[in-house]
Amino acid sequence: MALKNDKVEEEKLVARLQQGQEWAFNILVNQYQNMLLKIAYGFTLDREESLEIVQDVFVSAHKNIKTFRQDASLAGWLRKITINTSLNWKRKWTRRFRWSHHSIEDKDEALLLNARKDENNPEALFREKQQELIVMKSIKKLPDKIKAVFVLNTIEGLSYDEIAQHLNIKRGTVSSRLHHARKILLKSMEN
Amino acid sequence: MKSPCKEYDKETISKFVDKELSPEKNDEIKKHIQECDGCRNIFNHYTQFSELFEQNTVRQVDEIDTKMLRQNVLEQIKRKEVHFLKKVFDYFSPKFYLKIASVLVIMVAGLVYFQAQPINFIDTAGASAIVNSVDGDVSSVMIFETEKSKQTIIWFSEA
Amino acid sequence: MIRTLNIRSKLFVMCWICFFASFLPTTAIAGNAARTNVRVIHASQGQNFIDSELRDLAEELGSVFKYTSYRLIKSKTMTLSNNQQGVVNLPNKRSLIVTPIKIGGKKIKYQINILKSGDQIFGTQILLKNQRSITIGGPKFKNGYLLFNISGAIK
Repeated sequence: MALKNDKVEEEKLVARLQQGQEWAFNILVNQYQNMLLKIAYGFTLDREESLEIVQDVFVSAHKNIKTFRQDASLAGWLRKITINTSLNWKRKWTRRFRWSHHSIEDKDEALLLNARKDENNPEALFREKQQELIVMKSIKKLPDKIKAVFVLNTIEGLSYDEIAQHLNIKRGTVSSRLHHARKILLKSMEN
Repeated sequence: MKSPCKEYDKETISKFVDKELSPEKNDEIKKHIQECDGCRNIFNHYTQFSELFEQNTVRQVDEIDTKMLRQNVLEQIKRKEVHFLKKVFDYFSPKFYLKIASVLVIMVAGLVYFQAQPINFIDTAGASAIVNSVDGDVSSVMIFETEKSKQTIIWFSEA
Repeated sequence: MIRTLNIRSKLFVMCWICFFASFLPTTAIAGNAARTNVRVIHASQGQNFIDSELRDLAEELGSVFKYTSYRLIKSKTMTLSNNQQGVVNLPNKRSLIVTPIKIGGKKIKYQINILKSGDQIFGTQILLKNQRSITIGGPKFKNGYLLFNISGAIK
């Protein structure tokens, strides 16, 4: 489909959403749920939390669609809401459940770390899996500002300029934060 | 932290991974990586981090059951609307609503009585139109209504 | 009674008074003109397609027709006073003329004529309820038929 048509189709969808038509909202959810789930998962590394975050994002979008300005894209607008919701979610739940919340992926970690090297589990594969786990754990621990840049770069494939525009920071800051993220991950692997 | 080599630092390699260098610098680094073990090592690690993260994310998100997502969202929206309406109506006491209702009844009765023409309300019951007459060079005419909104349809076949 | 209410309540009552007062001018001048919209639609049994402007109508028509494709060819809105003709040009040298001949409190009497090369091929006089619509069809057109959805609102 030509780019011009995509923009026109999006304008029509937004118009229907602002009129409160339910079928238009269904289209919005179907079209963007996957993209938003990936962003939310990038922040939380937890499937259940990602699902709850994206549900909140769509409820918020439904409430605020009348304030949506057509000079931005729907994808960009939803992305921003998801980033803010993910960051605030972490802060909210860290305060309430610091001692009791466990990610459902923790069980994978437990299984992997307790697995013994044997004939059925080649050493190379085991080391690779461990490396993956270490990298994912380190990503989870990245400071919020650095993680936001890393998620938008890796998961969404945005350019430095696009990330800068999304997060309201300078292009140079994007570059240094990405560099910082990679430095942290490299250090965790070396350790 | 140590640079991989004397010529380029890690941030430059990081920008190279993200294709954010100028075309000339990009070609320069591309060539250099083939010759420099240190820089190639960093490049491979940086690329690997992104690939691992992306693949893991896609894999995990694919396992999320999205069937309930839309339903849960719609339920949440309805709950918020009901809650808001309840808040609005609980704001005033029942006696107050009785007083307002009696004022409204008097006002509407007055409007209807003293106005020559009736108020324009939309009549949604029944067929949308009555067909008074049909003519023309046609072989047949059918008149019927749609199921839900009772919209009148006239179908003619040209002779 | 108004004096005994607090400020919040007074504001609420004022809102209702303004709401009902807004009816006075509209009832006084109702019946002078009809805002008439004509949508020209190509319906066929081709590839599934519903023009986004026609979603509401397509759903209704789908209950009586077997068409799978509804494309909006043209949409024209006119404000017509009593006996003023509104003309919509159609493909294949046709035209549709819609004339409100009586605009009442709740209904509009329309005379609708479809012409081909100046000759009338179909004519009807209808009494359309305010803010409702009627669909008329259909001359053959490109492996399908032309439908005309006409709606009217009293101004």
